[in-house]
Amino acid sequence: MTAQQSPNPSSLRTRFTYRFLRALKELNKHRSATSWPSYRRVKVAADASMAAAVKSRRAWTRAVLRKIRRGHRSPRWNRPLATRELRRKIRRNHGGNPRKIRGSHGDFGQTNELRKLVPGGESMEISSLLGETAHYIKCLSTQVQVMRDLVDLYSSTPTS
Amino acid sequence: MSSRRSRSSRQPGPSRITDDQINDLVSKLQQLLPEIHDRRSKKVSSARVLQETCNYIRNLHKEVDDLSERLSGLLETTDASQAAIIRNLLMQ
Repeated sequence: MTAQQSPNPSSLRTRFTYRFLRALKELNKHRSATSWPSYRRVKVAADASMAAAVKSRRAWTRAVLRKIRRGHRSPRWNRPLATRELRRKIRRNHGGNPRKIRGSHGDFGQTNELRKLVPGGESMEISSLLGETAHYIKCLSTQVQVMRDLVDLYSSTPTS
Repeated sequence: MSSRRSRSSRQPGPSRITDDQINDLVSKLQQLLPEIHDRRSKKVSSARVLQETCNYIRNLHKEVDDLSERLSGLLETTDASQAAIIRNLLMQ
């Protein structure tokens, strides 16, 4: 990202950064009570901060926030598998490259892969999925950028 | 995005998404991908775009994991002033 003269207070990057820093501060505060903030806690804080910065405007953020509120229970399906998922599961267990299966639009097999990667993607229509994916990618890159900057800053700041 | 999308995403039952709409969305995705976008090839297939998208997302996920790991390590050892960090971070 190019350098900005002054931070845009309402930009996604700024909103995410504030939330994430606050979350890290909280993690740090409680580190003596439990173990050191584990990698997992940092990652969840980052994902949650981004979803919260976007708010519920997007299906993928709603899915992320839902999952976090449920408290990271085991990611297994809580409902019986629908036919298509069952077919995919069987196909996966038989190994090899998944051939293109006909979705509701006679569409690509890659969408199944994409559905697994985008939060909430499993139950989306193909057009929603594509739009959500675009937004998700934008937010993920912002998240990565900020985290990278933070690592650089922490690495270079002398400890007190 | 276009209102077409929001209308169709609320439809229950069989959707009426046209192939054109799909292609439009796929090409929008294509513009977000670093590799393909650079090559500016108009002949990239939708399947290729989706494949690259999946790869890109997986890479981003992996970066988040790596960075989270580094951050959690750094948090243990750093007591840096928050204000300075915030100011620096936001000025990037």
